[in-house]
Amino acid sequence: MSDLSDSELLTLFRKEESRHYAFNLLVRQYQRRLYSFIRRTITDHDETQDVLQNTFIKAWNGLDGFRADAQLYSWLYRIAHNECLNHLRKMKRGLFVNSDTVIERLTTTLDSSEHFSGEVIQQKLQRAVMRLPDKQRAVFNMKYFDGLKYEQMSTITGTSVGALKSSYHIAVKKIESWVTTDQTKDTQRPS
Amino acid sequence: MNAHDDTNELRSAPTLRSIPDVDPFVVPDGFFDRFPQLVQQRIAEDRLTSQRWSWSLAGLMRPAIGGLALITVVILTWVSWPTSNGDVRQAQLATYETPDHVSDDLEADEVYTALSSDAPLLAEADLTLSDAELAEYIEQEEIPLDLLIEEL
Repeated sequence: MSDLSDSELLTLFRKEESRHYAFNLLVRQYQRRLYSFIRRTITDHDETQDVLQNTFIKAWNGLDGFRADAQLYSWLYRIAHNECLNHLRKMKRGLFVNSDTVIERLTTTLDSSEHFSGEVIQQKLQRAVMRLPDKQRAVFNMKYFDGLKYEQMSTITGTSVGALKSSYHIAVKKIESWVTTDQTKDTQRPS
Repeated sequence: MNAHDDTNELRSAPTLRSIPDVDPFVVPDGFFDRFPQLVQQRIAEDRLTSQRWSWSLAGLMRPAIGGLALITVVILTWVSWPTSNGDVRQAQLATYETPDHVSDDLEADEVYTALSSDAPLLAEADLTLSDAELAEYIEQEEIPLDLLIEEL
């Protein structure tokens, strides 16, 4: 079945008899894209599943008040973005640790072949992305991986387009530097 | 080259541009087929939990409302209960003896007539004052002399 438009989904959702059906379609329509975004931030599959579920539960509870002039995807993305940041904050509080320890934990997941099937260069890229501060990482993921426009990103994060451009520019420079340094180390390492 | 990002930012990042655009994270088989069902289950569970919560809240409120009603009744009773002066008056009323000439089985108009017959008794009472008593009263009350003359 082809994807329904936002207005079609919302019309179905607002009828009591098709409410659950419409929401089921909405989940099917957006789950992959939101999963990828969350997974790149959280890295662990089980934790990603929890955050994704919370995202959709919040969407279920708030969809009645959703303004039709906004884009449904941007709205869902914003919920997912906030849920990711909340999850990372909880992780820091729960483990009583600083950001570095959390990053170490997140990158450890990448080492497991059970979670990660990419090439070595992709693993290096993910490790470098993990080293970015939480909000800058989200900006990088939205632009580099999901190809969102700055205007969309501004709606999602509540940050100005100028600040987002600047944040992405800095993130790209950092990652390029880290990935290149890692590659240089690998080529110099005796086999 | 990354297919998503065609902006100028990657011009100065050749390594980043060269990385293939694939999702490297492993997703368990059939996850996206099962996930919508999991979300529906969570919605149903959340609804049940909120219903249970509202029931248990009502269960907790019921004795509290009962207690509050009891306290209100006690306070109202306490406020409307006769004071000690009232008690004395109640006791006086209880011990009040009906005059002999007023029988318990009289009708209302007969009671009025019987009580009216007390008037001669009042007339018989000694209400006259001696001159000395009258002078003392006038002095005590400091009645102005001109007013007294006018009265007389």
